[in-house]
Amino acid sequence: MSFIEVHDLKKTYGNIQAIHDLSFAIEENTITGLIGRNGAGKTTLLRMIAGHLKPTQGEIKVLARDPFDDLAVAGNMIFVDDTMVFPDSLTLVNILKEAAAFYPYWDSRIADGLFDYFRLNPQQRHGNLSKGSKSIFNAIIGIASRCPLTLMDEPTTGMDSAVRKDFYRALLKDYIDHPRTVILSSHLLGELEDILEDILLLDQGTKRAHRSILEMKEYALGFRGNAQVIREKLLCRLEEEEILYQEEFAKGSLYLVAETEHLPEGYEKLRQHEVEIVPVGIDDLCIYLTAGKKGGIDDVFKRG
Amino acid sequence: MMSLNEVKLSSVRFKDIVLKQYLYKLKGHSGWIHSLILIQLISLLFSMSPMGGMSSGGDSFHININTYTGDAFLVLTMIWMAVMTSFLGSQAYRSIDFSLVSNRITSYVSNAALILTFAVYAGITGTLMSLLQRMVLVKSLGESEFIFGGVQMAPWDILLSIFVATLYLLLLASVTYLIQMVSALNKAAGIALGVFILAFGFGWIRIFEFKVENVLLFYTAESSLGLFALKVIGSVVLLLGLSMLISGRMEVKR
Repeated sequence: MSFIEVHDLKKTYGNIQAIHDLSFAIEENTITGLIGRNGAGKTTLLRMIAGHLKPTQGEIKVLARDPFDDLAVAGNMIFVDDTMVFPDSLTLVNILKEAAAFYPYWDSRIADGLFDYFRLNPQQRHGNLSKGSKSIFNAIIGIASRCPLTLMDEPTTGMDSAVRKDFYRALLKDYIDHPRTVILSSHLLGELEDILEDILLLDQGTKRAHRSILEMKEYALGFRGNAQVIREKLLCRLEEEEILYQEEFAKGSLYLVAETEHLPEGYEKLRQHEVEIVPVGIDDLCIYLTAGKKGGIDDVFKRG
Repeated sequence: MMSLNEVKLSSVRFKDIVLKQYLYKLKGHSGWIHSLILIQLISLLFSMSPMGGMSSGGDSFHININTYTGDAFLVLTMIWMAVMTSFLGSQAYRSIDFSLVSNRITSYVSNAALILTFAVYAGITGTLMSLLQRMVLVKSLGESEFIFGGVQMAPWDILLSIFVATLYLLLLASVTYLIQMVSALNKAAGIALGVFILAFGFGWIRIFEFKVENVLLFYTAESSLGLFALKVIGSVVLLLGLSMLISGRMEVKR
């Protein structure tokens, strides 16, 4: 039994389909990155897992229970996002003190340590914090609460890049010391890549890929070189859906990204024709996988 | 991979969570208590000026009668109660629960307990303020002035006053909470319900031949304390039950 199981999930808001045909399972004690473009359905999915939204169809099981409005799931879960609200009569330091009562594994040493490190003002009110500071504070609660299920929806909104790196490092360190199931959503992978174990890539409300980071790194290869050579030796031997991306970057030169498992045998020989074979970074890969059409922004201008 | 430090699942008890939420919100909303104290001090100022009076006199004597009332306490405390309850029922304030551990029932029950606490608190302080008003009036009496009705209230009367004020505040709060819940479902319906209750309650509308002279009379004209308490508590339970049903139709957090 997996920690989270999702079968044929569907969620609609009126006529708008936010999630459809989504099935996956997440194992206990893993860090999964929920990656997708704007409007891919990341927040909707997380809210359904957290039990805040009810699926239109299909089912979600968290700890073998339906999470919707379920206290047993709520008591073992924290959902960090920018809609977290805390009472205005409490100062930040008091909120930390009060929140501790709700979580049996709350670590006040970590909470206070992070609070000091990020130089938050203990006497400030949550409602008056800047966007970045609010995200830091919410993330501290998310880490210190040490919930078996920790959901974070775009936790780094507004954080500067130094703080983002520190936050990821803090999360990773605490996760290694105290393993739990973490799902982090983000639209960009970049800095996130180093702490993730799995990636669940959403595109327009459905799953595009769900693999480990290692598998994602080997998912595709890039070929850069003479356009004619690449077209003759490679492009014509691939199906259209196996080509993830192609771009002419100079006159007569082509950059082509293709799925590794569908490459014809002996593709390495292209090197003899001065074709460079390069690995494809995961953030680029995710962009190619979720691109609306083949091509890119350039094509919009070509037509015009 | 298993680890010694792995965070384990914990069992969650309904009662514990409700209690934790209640205490959390009581502390978190303590600012409202301060606002009530401020409001009551201001209303003390209002009630120091006579609301009515008459005077008459002859050649050798002159009588001047001033009437003072504690209505300002009641009206302002009721406004405070309504505002506070509609805050509690609002989406933003309900999100306070869901930012930590909560489900709809625990959030609802802890809110109800909070409303009860605030009603009792406001009932007690409102009554004590009217005692204070009398004392201040006595202190400010000039020569050849005296106060009718005495300074002291019998302990029984004080308790009665607290009890009745609390019940009225609870009734008001449960109506406000219901309006807030309906608004969360549909803004227009909420506003319509609010206007309807206001008009209906004060008897401004009639439906066909059935004229609701004054729904409030159902409560205010009741002379038996027991029946009055029963009527109010029954209505409160009905109203709060209705808002719970309505909130059950919504998604937890939007």
